Formats: sequence, C-alpha cells, structure tokens
Amino acid sequence: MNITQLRLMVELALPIIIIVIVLLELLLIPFLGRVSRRRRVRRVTVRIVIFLTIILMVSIYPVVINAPLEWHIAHVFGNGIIFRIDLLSLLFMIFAGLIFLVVSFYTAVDIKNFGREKSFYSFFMITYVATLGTLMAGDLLSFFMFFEIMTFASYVLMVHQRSQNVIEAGSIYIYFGIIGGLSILAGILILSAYTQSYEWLTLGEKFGDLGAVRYVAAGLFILGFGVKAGMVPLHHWVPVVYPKSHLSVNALSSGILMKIGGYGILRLFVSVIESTNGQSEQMLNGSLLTLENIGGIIIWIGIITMIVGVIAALEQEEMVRMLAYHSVSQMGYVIMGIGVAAYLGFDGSMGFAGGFYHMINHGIFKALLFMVAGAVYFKTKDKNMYRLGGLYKNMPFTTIVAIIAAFGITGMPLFNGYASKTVLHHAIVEAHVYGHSSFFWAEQFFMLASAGTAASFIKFIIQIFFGKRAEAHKDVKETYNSGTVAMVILAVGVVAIGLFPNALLDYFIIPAARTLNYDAQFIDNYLVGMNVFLYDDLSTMLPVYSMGALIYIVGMRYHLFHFHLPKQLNPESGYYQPAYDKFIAVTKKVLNKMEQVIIKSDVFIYGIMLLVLLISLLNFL
Amino acid sequence: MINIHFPIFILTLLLAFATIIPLQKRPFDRRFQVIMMSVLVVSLVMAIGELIYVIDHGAYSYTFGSYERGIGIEFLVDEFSVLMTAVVIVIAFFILLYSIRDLEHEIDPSRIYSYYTLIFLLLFAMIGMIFTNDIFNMYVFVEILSITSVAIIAIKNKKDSLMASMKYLIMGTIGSITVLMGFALIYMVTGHLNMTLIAEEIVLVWEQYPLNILLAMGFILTGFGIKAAIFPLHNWLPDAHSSAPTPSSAFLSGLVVKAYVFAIAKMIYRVVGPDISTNIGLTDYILIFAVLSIIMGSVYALSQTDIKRRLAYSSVAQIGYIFLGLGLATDLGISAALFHVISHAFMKSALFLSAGSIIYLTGKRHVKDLSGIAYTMPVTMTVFCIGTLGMIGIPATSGFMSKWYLGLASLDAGQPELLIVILISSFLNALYYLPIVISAFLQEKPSRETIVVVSTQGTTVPRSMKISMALVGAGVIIIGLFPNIVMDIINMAVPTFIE
Amino acid sequence: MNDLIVKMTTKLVLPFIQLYGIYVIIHGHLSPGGAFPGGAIFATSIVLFTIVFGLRIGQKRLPHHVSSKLETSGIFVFIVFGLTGILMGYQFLTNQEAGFPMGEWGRVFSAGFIPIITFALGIKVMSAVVTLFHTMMEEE
Repeated sequence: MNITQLRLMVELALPIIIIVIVLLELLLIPFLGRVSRRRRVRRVTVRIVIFLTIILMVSIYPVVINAPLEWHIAHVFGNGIIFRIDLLSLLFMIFAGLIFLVVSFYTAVDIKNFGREKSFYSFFMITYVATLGTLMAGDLLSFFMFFEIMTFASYVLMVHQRSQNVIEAGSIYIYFGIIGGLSILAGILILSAYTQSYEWLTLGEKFGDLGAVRYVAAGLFILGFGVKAGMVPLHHWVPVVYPKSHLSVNALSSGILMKIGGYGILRLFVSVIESTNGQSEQMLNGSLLTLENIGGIIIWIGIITMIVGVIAALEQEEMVRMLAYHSVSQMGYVIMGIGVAAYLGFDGSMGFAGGFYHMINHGIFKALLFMVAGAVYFKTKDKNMYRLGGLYKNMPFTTIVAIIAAFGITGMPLFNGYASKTVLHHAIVEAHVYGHSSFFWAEQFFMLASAGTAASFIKFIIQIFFGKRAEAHKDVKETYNSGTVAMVILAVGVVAIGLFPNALLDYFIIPAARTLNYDAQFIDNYLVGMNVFLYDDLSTMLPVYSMGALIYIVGMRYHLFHFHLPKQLNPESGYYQPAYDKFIAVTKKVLNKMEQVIIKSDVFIYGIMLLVLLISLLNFL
Repeated sequence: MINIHFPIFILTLLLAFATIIPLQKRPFDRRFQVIMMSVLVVSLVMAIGELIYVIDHGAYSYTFGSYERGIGIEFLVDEFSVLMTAVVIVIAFFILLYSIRDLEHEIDPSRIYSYYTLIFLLLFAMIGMIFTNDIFNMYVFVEILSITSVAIIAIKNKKDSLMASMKYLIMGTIGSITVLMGFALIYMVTGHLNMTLIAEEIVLVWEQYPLNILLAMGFILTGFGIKAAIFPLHNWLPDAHSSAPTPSSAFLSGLVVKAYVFAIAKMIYRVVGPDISTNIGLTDYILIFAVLSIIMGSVYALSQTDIKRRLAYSSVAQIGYIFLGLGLATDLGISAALFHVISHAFMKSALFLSAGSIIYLTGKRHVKDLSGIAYTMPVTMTVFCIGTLGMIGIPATSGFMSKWYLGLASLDAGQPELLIVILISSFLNALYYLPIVISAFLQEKPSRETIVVVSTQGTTVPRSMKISMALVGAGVIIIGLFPNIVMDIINMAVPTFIE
Repeated sequence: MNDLIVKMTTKLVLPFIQLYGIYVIIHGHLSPGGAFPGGAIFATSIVLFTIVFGLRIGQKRLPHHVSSKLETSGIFVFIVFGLTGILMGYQFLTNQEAGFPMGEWGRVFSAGFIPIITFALGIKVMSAVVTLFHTMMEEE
C-alpha cells in the first residue's frame, strides 16, 4: 500500500478518521493515570494524537486547493450530516491543530503541577474534536452541535481550578455562551425555515431572496458569534473569566476559540459571495446590498471594539486582564476586516485576507503572550505588573520571547503582526476610497488603536522585565521544560511569518479568496505578490510607535493609567453578578408569596377561578 | 390476521395481570418481579408488532362486538396511537425496573402489591385512552386514570403526600365533571358518541348551535386542562409530583399528563376539526396559555429549592411546549407537539429517576446540598446531566430536536415571536438546571460531610436502578441522534389525525 | 348490636334481599338494573349482616381472600368471553356472530353471553362493596 493509496483512503473519510482517532484517545485517557510515569505517557499520547491529526489535515491540502471536499453521512439528525472542507476551513483546522499541540506542550508548566489531569485532558480532547467539527461542518445543524459541545467543554476547562470564585466567574462564561448559542440557533432556524435547507451553500444562494428577514437572521448570527469572538458589547465574559482560569486555557481560548466566532461571521458572508455563480442580476444586487449594509455596521462595531479594548487595557495593572482586553481589541481588528470583506462585496478580498491573516497571527502571538505571562506568574506568584520588574536578568529567555511577541502584536516590521496589520490598513483605506467617506475616520481610529496597543505593550515589557527588580523576586530562576518548547515554536512562527509574509498569502489565503469567487482581477492587482515592505506602509508605523511611546511616557508621568472610570460606567465593576442576584432574589420573594397564598387557600378559590375561566371563555363568542 | 387484535390483547393482559396481583400470598420476591417484567415485555412485543403492522397496512378501526361504528365502542388504531403505546410500555418497563429496589424504602412493604395493581390499572387506562375513538369510553378511561394516579401518590403514607393527593383528587374530579358536562353538551347537539360520527355531524349543525359547541369545547378544554396542568390550572402539580414516591413522579410527569394532552388534541382535531377550531379562536386561546405556561413554569422553577419541585415546575413549562405545538394548528405544529410528547417522556423520566436515586442514597432534596455528589454517584449524575442537556436544548439530545421542530413549526405558521419564547425559555431552563449539574460535578463536597456517610442503603445505587436510568438516558440520546425513527411515524399519522 | 329484635328481623329479611339482588342482576338485559345496582343490592345484605352481628363474624362470612378471588374471577369471565369472540374470528366481545345462543327475545336465557357477564360482574361488584365496607370498618 503506497502513499497514494493511503492518501486516497484518508481523503475518503477524513472527518470520520479524525473523530475516531480523538475518541479513541479519549477512551484511553482515564486509564493512564495512576502512576506518574503513566501520566507522562498520557501527555505524550495526547500530543502524538494531535500531531497525527495535523498530518492528516495537511495531507489533503493538494486536493482541497482545487475544489472543496464533501462528505455525507446519512440518517443522523433526520437529514444526515454533511462535512465540507474548503481552503478557508482547512487552514483554520491546521492552525487549530497547531495551537492545540503547542498548548498541550505548555500544559506541562501549569496543569502538571496543579493536578486533576484526567478531567483536563479529556475535556481538552473533546474541545479539540468539537473545534475541528465546527470547522468541518457543512450543514448548520452539525455546526451548531459542535459549537455547543465546544462551548461546554471549554467551560469545564476554564473552571478547572474549581474553587468557588472561579466557578462563579465561569458561570458568566457559560451563560454568555448559551445566549450566544441560542442566538445562533434562532438565526439557523429562521434561515432554514425560509430556505428549506440546512447547508451553508444553499443558504448563501438563496440569501438574496429573503427580504427583510435576512437582516434579522444575519443580526442573530452576528450576535451569537460576537459573544464567542468578544465583540463589544458582548465581551464582558473575557475580562471576567480569563484572570480566573489557567493560563494554558487562556492561551487556547484566545488563540483559537475566539477565532471560531470570527470564522462564523466570515463563513456567513463568504458563503453568500461564493455561491453567486449563475445567479440572476436582481438577486445578486439584493445580496450585495445587504452585505454592504451589514458590512458597514460591522466595520464600525469592529472599530468600537478596538478602541474600547485598548482603552480598558491601558487601565489594567494585572497582566492577564490586560492581555484579555487586548484579545478583545485585536478581535476588533479582525471584525473590522471581515466587515470590509462584506462591505466591498466582490472587491472585498483585501478585507478577507486581512481578517483571515490577522486571526492566524493573533492566535500565534497572543498564545505566546499568555504563555509568557504564565511563566512569569509561576515563578513570581504575582500578576500585578507594577509590582514586577527587572526580570530580564533572571529570565532572559522569557524576556526575549516576550519582546518578540510584543513586536508581533504592535506591528513591528519583520514580525508577523506587521503584515496582517498592513493588509488590514489597506482594507480600511479601500473601504474609504471605494465606499463611504465616513470610513476616513475609521482609519484614524485604526491608527489610534494601534498606537494605544503600542503604548500598552511598551508598558508591559518595561514594567515586567526592565526597571527595578523587587526584593521578593531576587531568586527567581527560569526552568526549561516542554513549556519552553511551546514558546520557542510560537516565537519562531512570529518571526518566520514576519520575514516571509507572502508565504501564507500565496499558499492559503489567495487561493481561498479565488475559490470563494472574489473578483479575480482585484486579487491579481492588489493581493498577489503584495509587498508589505513598501515605504508607505513602513512609514505608517513610525507615527504609531512614536505616539505609543508618547502615550506611555505621559501616562506614567501623570499616573493616567490608574484612572478608572466611575463605577457605573466601568463594566468591570461586575454589575452583571449583583444585578443577576438581585433579580433572582426579587423573583424568589414575589413567587414565594404568590405560591404560599395559592397553596394555603381553599378549594373554594379554585372553584371560583374555574368559574371565572368559563365565563371568560364565553366572551370569546 | 391476529395482528389487528393486538391492542385488545395488550389491554386484557394488563387488566388480567392487575387483577391477579392482589391474589399473591408470597412476599414480594424475585419470582413475582420476573413475572411482572415479562408481562411488560410481552405487551411491548405486541405493541411493536402492531406498530409494524400499522406502518405497513395503514390505520384501521376496530369495533367491539363487530358492530358498526355508532353502536359499538370503536378503537381507532393509527400510527401515532401505537407508537405512543409502545413508548408508554417501554418507559413503564424502565420505571418499574427502577421501582423494584426503590419502593421498599419509600412505601410500606405491605402495600407494594397494591402499588403494582394500581400501576397496571393505570397503564390499562392510559393505553385505552390513547386508542379509543368514543367519547364516553374516553371518559371511563379518564376516570380510571384519575383515580389510580391519585392513589399512587397517596400510597406513601406521609402527611404531604396525603395532602397533595387530596388536592389532586379534588381538582381532578372537578376536571372530570367539567369534561363530562362538555361531552354531554356535544351529545346533545350531535346525537352521537363516536368521534368520527360527531365530526361529520358537527360540520352540519355548527350553524344552528354555535354557542352550544363553543361551550362544550370550553368545558372540555378547562376540564382536561386541569388534569394536564396548563397554567393557571397547574397548582396541584408541584405538590403532587414532588411528594409522590419517585416511580410515581416519573409516571405522572412523564406519561399521565401527556395522555390528557393527547385527549385534548383528539378532541380539538378529530372531533371538532381544525377548521372550526381555528375559526372560533380555540387554538389561539391555547397558544396564549401555552406561552404563559412556558414562561411562568420556568420562572417558578427558578425559585424552588427542592429538587423534585423544581422538576415538577419544569414539567409545567414542557407541557406548555406541547400546547404551543398544538395551538399552531398546522401539520408541522402537531407533529412537533407529538414528537415532544415522546421526547419529554424520556427526558423527564431520566431526570426524575436520577433525582430519586440521589434521594434514595443520600436523603437530600435541597438543591444546595448536592455539591460534589457526582463522584459518589457517577451513573446517576451522568443521566441527570443528559436530561439537563436535553432540557436546555443541546444537539444530540431529543430535547434539541423537539425545539428544532417546534421552532420550524412556529416560523412556518407565521408566528416568529413564539420562536423567541422558545429560546428564552431554553435559557431559563439553563438557569435552573445547570447550577445543579455544575455543583454536582465541579464542586467539592463540604468537608464535614465526609465523616457522616451513614447510609442504610449501602454505598451505591442498586444495579437495577442504575441499569434502568442508563437505558432511559440512552433513549434520550438515541432519539436525539436519529429522530427519524419517531418523526417518520408521526408524519404518517398526522394526516389521519387532522382529517 | 345486642338487640334481639334487630337480629331476628335481619335473619328473616336477609334471604329476600339477596334474592332481590340476584333478580336484578339476572334480569339485567330485560329490565332496568344489571350488574351494578344488583351487585350493590346483594352487597347490602352482607353489610347489614356485618353491622348487626359484628365485624368479626361478618368477616368470617365473606373473608377477604374469598372476596378477592370473586373479584378476580369476575373480571376473568368478562375477558374470557370477550376473547371467545376473537377465537371465533370476529372482534372482541362479539355476541351473536361468535355463536352464543341468542334464544327468544324476552326470556332470561337469551342475548348470548350478556346474562353470564352480567352475573359475573354482579358478583364482582358485590364483593367490591363488601370489601370497601369491611376495610372502612376495620380502620375504626
């Protein structure tokens, strides 16, 4: 049996193979726990399984680049499940595999010392297979099923620490997740009811037909995916849960799970655009007009998310919370890119490329940042940036890696963030040039947010690694273990993509844009062989960095970073929890009173109620 | 063919066995349990054989005494009736398997035989009610069902059970009398007691006696509504279902209440006909009460602290879903409602049986006391978790498929606001079910508990209880993954139902 | 009760009550009555006996195990006769087609199995009422 035959076999049943492999591993996990040596075997098997699935996914790349692959499984769920992998999903799946693999290495740092590994790894694998399932799904029902499984499994990972306040924070995560899921379900139901089908493709085709209902459906989808992606105003769960959960889980969530939200919105728009072959002029115009309207709104939501995230991040003194707000902010960039992709219709490939690219890059450097924070926290047991300092002597490796990641996120040329931010910048400029002129201000806000990010990370690096070292942290020493391997891999990724930005574009993003029916000429003119190192783009980074440095210096001098919004405006004051508690308390009191009266009353009163009911029935005539 | 007689065989077998039980002299031992279970298995085999027959040959009518329709009592054997009978027997099998070990600790051992007599009479009455096509025959079965269902609550000789059963009895009797009044009014106007003949007659006399028929439907709706626990007539349900022994709670919540809903569905769609019902606004009326049930049931459940009471209020909300489907008066709506009847029977039985196991082993009913018990009772809590996920509406459970079908039905009927109601109530369901599951699985037991684990029942749940719970949980998931098994049969039945 | 007059009257009247009860039961298909009223009347006799002569003697007359067997056999007769209809190839509870002798209209032995079923159910109702009464008296 040679390689070609093997490959054909894999191609034949890839989703099943992946699911079966992960399930087998899942069955194996409980049995490998007694002895410490067996636990190491368990960790290794987890990593091997994830690696295996990545290989499988890469192997079908040559096929998918020509046309998407589809698999039908009949009879389940009534109409059968459809799996569909096209270039967009494939890259995300490979990326998901990589992030999971890297995080599984990193778990040696925090989970190994914490304990309860059996439950952690089981739900880790469940989250993995659910994520892959979400990306592979071709019909909305299975997509929803995997999405919900992913939400619940990641919830268990988030509350892995199991203490009381962690569980309380986790319940915010899961309730938001359930609201998001139900919102998506509403959108799915509305679309299915009006288009009589469950596939993404037919949805896209008939989208133009639907009338006013499509705004409602699109709105519901965006609401649901926005919860997952951390879109303002639904981002509240991010800063609440992230500080309380383990940093591996944060790396995972920020690295890939939030991207599923962005992927969902992207998939919705892209499926409308890609299925426009042979459509009538009228339907086409209808779809494009809808997309334009929705896209415009999303661009502004993205901008708001960016700004809100950055401003809130600047206020933070705790590392993890700051990184959480930055996740929100960077997802704002992505959402803006997706918005441009929708706004410009067929010419939106720049926005598509920007959003897609930034999701990948952000996953890499954000996961790396969380790992750095984790490494620092584990050695110093302190999360407050202002209390740390001068650790570059004790933890040189971590310092280097942190600086690499910070350059990535702020967009320093030769690091990966620069490429995607440039593409996004081009995208927003196009929106301004080809579309509505108000997007000029959008571009200004874009620059402002980048400057804010730069300031925030200057603060991060300087406060943690440079400056005066605290007494308590004098003897902190670095340890090198599998976590280090993880960080190295990610850092290499940041630098590699930074040095060769076109590689990712050429192999994945541009073919994806082509197959998705974006305007070919536009792609050829602007995207192919795009040189991000043009003087125009490089020069925009100068004002960004200088403004960032300025903000930092002014902020530190006048203690602006300690300025907190008044309690009512500050979303961090946790007004959700007290509001919820009060709601429950009031409900309980009112209902108890009502119930007592009814229970203690006579049958006589029941009879009266019946009589009243009968008389009211008569009124129906 | 012998197949057409199977409904009668099932009924007479159950009745005969019910009357043999009081003659037993031996104590409640293994031999009796085996006989009891085999009676149920035989009935199940007959029900499934009947199902296959009806799917192949279509619905048929069976009159007693070979008379024609208006003279003899008629059974209309259609696909949904047989499916419902099969489901009833399957769930009864699981619950009785569970009750073998559980009853010894809930009721007086000398009354166990009486309990099983009552259960078999209850099954007899329920299956009869599902099949019958004659309104007075339905009344007779309703009466038998009422009395036996009250008795299986009162058989537990505690103060709250007795009070709750008394309340149920009185409310139920008021309901029965109201229903009888409605039936009498219909007979007065149409001169027939057979449902199909009444349906033909009503179309003719509707013009002359609109007030009469309207009043009759009002009475019937209210009377059956009391027994089926529509809001605001549901007040007896929380006390009754929470203070009954666990197998009784499962029977009542899972099966008995549904039989009455099915009776209402028959009355509205088979007797009066969907056209007249929508014209007089009967179905809109049901929709209003359905929405009220859904929302208020969940809101009440939020404030409960006893686990069985919480489950009972949740039943009120779920019955609201079924009424929502019925109130839509479209093909999709009725199929969705009937699907939910079956799916909720499985889910609620799973929840009640696992809650009962928790009470059996630890004696604790308060929701706050349940932290960390998933480690001592993994099977029980897994089944509870499956039931919870079904109630919230997670895919791969039957609850999700019911919500899916109901959502599509409400959109198809042009009432998207009902979709919002369904989704809001899913979220409310999550609000009161998830904390139980979360605290059971993810929280540590309070440390003072670990010393005082003196449980007279041993340290684990008995195996028969575990097996029955696991099977019911598996049923929830199987119906969730392959809803076609049930939905195809229902879709075959709906046209005959609505004509 | 220790009153002599009551006891003597009861002893005299009892057979007539029972006869009347059986009459009502047997003529169920001919005149108003049938199983339920007839059974109730028959049961009245035993209840009267119990009230007058005391619970213990009454329970010896119609002990619990006898009455439960009577109930069960009543239902069984019904089921068996119903199933005979199926055996003969017709539906449940078929009367004339299943070959039960119809006899002459207006006589006691007519109308197929109806008198037999009425009789069985009458006995059943009788034992049910007596059991109810004895149970309630025991509780006191």
